[in-house]
Amino acid sequence: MKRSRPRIALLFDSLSSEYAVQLRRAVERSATARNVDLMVVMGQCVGARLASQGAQNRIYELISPECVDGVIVVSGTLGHYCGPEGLLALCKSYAPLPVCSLGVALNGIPSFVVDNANGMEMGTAHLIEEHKCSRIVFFAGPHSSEESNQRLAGFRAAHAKSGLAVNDQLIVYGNFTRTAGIDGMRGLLARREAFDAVVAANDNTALGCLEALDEAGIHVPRDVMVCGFDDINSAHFARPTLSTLRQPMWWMGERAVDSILKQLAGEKVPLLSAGPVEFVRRESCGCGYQVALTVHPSGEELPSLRDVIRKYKTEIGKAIASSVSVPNDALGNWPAMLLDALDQELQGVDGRFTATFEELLHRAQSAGASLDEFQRVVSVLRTEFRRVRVQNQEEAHRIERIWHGARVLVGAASIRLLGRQKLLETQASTSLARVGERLAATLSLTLLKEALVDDLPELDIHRAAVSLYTGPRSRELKSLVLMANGREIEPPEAAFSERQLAPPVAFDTGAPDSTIVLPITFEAEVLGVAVLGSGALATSYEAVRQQIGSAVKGAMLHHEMVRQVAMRERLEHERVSEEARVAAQIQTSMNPVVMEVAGLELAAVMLPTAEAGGDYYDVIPMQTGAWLAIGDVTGHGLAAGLVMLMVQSMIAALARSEPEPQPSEVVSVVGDALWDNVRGRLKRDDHATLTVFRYQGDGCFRFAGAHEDIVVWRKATGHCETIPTPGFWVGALPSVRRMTTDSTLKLEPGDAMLLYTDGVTEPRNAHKEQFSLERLVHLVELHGHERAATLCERIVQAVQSWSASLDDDVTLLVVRYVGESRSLAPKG
Amino acid sequence: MLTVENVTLDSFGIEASELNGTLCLTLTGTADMAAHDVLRACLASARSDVERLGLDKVRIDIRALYLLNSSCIKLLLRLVYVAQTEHPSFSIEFLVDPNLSWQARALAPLKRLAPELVRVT
Repeated sequence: MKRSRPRIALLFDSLSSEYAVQLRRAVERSATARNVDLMVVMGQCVGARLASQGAQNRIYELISPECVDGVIVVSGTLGHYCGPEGLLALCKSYAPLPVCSLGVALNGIPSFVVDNANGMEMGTAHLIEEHKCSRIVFFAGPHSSEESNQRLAGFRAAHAKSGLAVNDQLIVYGNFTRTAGIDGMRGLLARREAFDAVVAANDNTALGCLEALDEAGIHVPRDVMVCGFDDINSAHFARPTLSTLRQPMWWMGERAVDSILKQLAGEKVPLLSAGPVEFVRRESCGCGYQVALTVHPSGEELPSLRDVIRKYKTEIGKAIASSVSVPNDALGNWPAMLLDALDQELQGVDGRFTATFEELLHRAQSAGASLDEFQRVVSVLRTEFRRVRVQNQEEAHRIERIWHGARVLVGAASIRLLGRQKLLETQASTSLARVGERLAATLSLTLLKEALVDDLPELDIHRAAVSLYTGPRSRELKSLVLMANGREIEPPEAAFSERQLAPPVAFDTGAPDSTIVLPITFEAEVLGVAVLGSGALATSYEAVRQQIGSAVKGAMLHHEMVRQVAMRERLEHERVSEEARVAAQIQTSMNPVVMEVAGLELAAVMLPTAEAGGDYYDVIPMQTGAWLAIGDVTGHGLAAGLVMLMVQSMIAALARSEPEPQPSEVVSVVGDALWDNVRGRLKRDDHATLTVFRYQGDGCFRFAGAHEDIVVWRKATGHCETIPTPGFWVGALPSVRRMTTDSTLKLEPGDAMLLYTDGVTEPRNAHKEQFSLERLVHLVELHGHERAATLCERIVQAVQSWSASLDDDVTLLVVRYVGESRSLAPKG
Repeated sequence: MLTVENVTLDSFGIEASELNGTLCLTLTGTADMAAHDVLRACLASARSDVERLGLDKVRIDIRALYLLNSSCIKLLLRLVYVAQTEHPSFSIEFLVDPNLSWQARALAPLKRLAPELVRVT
């Protein structure tokens, strides 16, 4: 993939360890100087055992020509568990990309290593030869660590050259952590092993040893001397300060980037390069600050300080340059500038040296140098100039004031730097806590996106491309958040290959840039990839990574929960709808087909609601007359429909039984059976209103059972009577027999009887007024003379006009007595 | 102290109080399916309070009801049935609005069930 400038991936297992901070800074500086974009990819140690670590390491598999032009593998830390074989396999997996290894020599892979063996031999020899130590403990890293093994070899070599035997009881293995140093030292002391010095395979372990020795009341360096390896920042600030072997971080950073660029250009590069290690003497080996020897011969007589500068400028420049670990070019040939300033100061340009030194400290701070190294610079200068014969006492005081002022500047700058770092860390910690709190509360990806856009700039992350996998086993990512210069930009709709890591627009910057690539995971689950700007504190990235992972997982779980609930609701709704459909079908399909009874004009209508309400009416023509019934089962849906079906079946059977029963008997039997069926068998508590009529001709009806009042329109008067239906609801009591009696009703020719359910009288209008029995009566009185079917239609229209939405079945049965000579049988 | 609680729904409400050995429940709004569950819980608590506090009467005021559907009537029926079958018994008085004739009609079967215990006034 063609890019405007090369992009190199730097594979790390940590961003926040001091080793990582220093090495990353060295590679970043080198990349920027060479117009290269750097992508720092953070996973875990290769071959790490936990599933969650394995999930994070999936990020290494995504590095390909689609996103970078070369890969630098920090083998020194990535390979703690997998060893050189695992590292080699990892490097080969990136073919055809140019690759190089930092820290561990890998067969066939350009490798930049620290001269571990020689370095450790140097440090160990210092303890044996200069401090006469003979029982030295070696704190190693993991057995599989190539770096640790090389350093152990150097330790053994120093012993061999001095004719000392290595006591294997004094070799303690750990995992390069401070905790390993503490625990290992405690174990050693518990075993009461005698020893006079400790050499650790890295500084962190050595610092842990210092802590455990202090805890045990053993003085360093008086009782035991300690030496580390790496020269991390903490080594400068330990109590006592830690003597150590300084890794050539800047050298490795420069060479690694150069190697990739040369490979890209098709040039041949050496397969193995070893960087020099420098022994830094500090308090823990009893040497305090190492002060360089004077460069001019001790017997040489020089008349003035300016003569020293003129004659030995180059040599003194080299001496002070070697006191500082940052490369000279990073600070712009500062030794010459400093000596020129001193010369001018001595000529009488007051304050020139101080001003230049202050500027130098400022640059050094920006370049990431440890400022206390400049105390060594002052010491070297003071040593050089101390032996020069000064003109007079005033000049002696003047030069001492210069050195004193320089030391005060270093002290003040160091305190400022530490204070600033502390402040930044506190602010970052507060911001992280706040961001974490907010992210934890985001229960949707939309809210998460808003939170990230709002909060990442607070952590000094102004560029971000957070993308999530499109599915559980997908190889495609979809952008969730895309931000540049602290502002959200519209992410592309389309998904993209996981090997791109982010949409192309995310990398569209004018100047060479450094980004941090983090896997978004939750436990062993890989959820996506975050590509973030590199401006934040190193410690923030891991926390942000975890917070985003947890928030994404939380949002996904919430989304899934909502989806499940919605699905269940939909299924439930479908089930209810289906039940209602079946219930409505039962209800309407059981309506009488034949509505012809001699002497009666019959018309009926039933409008079931979506959730059928259990209404029931029936007309059963008999040889003489007919049975009529109307009822309403409490509740809705399929259960109400089933109960209605039971009522219908029982009445149909009883109506045809011999001898013919009275209506009260029918109602009583139905009531008894319903109680038994519904309560005893269905385990429900439904009951029904039910009035059963026996029409025996001549307009005479016997009826029984409690339902709505019967409305009777009298042709003679044009008015209605409302006739209560005594009795009780069937199924509500074990027996309704006691309360059920027969009543009679007689219609004269032309009179009409209206049977209905509460769906006719109870619908409410916008003012919550029921349609009511009174309105029904009024309507019947207006239209009672019309045909039964017409009357039905008018009532239904009136009810529907009254209420915007009917929530109960509407059932009407109009029975007009037309006299024995006529028989009207309206259709439908 | 009553355990039955006041209820305020969008379309239905219950106010409960105790006065001189009578537990008073005032129902307002629309007693339809939306009110069914809270009315059921209210009547269950009322029944428990009557027994616990030794009350002898429950007064249910439905004058401010727009509707009492059959499912809610069923709940009142259950209370009447309990009043009729449990000891010591208690009476139930329903207060209805004479201008809303449906109210008295709807409750008539309850009075029919237990004329000695139920009054509709």
